[in-house]
Amino acid sequence: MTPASQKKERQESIVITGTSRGIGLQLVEKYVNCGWRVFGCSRGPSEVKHKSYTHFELDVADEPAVVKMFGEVRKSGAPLYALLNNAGSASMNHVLTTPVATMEKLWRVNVLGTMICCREAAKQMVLRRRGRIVNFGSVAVVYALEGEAVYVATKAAVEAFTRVVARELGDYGVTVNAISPNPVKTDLIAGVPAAKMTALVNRQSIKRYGEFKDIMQALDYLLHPDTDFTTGQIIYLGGP
Amino acid sequence: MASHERLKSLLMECVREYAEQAGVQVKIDENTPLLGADSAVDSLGLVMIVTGFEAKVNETFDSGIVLANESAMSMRRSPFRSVAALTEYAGQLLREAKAA
Repeated sequence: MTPASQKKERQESIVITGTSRGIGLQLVEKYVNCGWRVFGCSRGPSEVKHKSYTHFELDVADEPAVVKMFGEVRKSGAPLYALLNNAGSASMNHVLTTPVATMEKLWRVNVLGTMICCREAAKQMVLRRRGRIVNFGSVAVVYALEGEAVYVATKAAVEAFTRVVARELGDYGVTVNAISPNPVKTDLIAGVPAAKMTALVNRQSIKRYGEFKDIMQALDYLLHPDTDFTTGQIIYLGGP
Repeated sequence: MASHERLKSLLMECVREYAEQAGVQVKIDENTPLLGADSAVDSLGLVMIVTGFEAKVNETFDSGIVLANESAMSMRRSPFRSVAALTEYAGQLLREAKAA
């Protein structure tokens, strides 16, 4: 039985970032329909209207806003079990023509946002000696993907951060892992030329686009209550 | 408004919980050191005490303070050095949050 399909005796909560569209939106729909208490956030509103879903309009790098959101989670009465740090931003550009502002923007969303959400979630999880944190990296890190130096640098930071935090929380019943998806057809890659995407997919061990079910299967494993000995791992979907 | 005594009581509760879990003997009063050679609390213990205290404060006073913030880290004398100092620091953060 997987966490997504598991009916719980006591409802626990899950926080998902970047839920207004793409994979984050699909994750919200999946988990609310399986009986989880879900909290999500994005810079804009959410189209999800469900009694078990609460949406926060915020920037994940805005520390006071994130602290407030996790305060609301704590007050909900549904103990926090999992955090999915899905929010992310991408940019494709040669380093010679990349504005500093691009690096700052991606660093804030991808790294700072992940760090603040991890910290606030872990504060609740360690007190219960129970929790699952899943960050999102990218296969672009292992490919050292040219044209994405800034994006790759931020995702490499997320993956390194994941490994260290896994060690820091290991004694408290909290696992910390990362899923690093291969290209999935979402808005994140909408502006990338088709030829480049095909070349990228052909570098994978399994040469096809990723699908939502691939991510969901990895999450089902990582979030399962019995998966308490897998931590600090980076799962490259499609194979590096 | 958060009373000093209420905050101190919450913090001492956290130190007590830590001592029980860690199996260490700690004389708990406002002079109890939380840092340094005289402290019975190790570095991870301090992390747990601060985390637990922050949660209790935010729950009790419906606030959203973060104890381990930049200001705390840059102070000449650490606000985490003793029960009295951390109690005073939490009270200060609550007052600042209310005034903001």
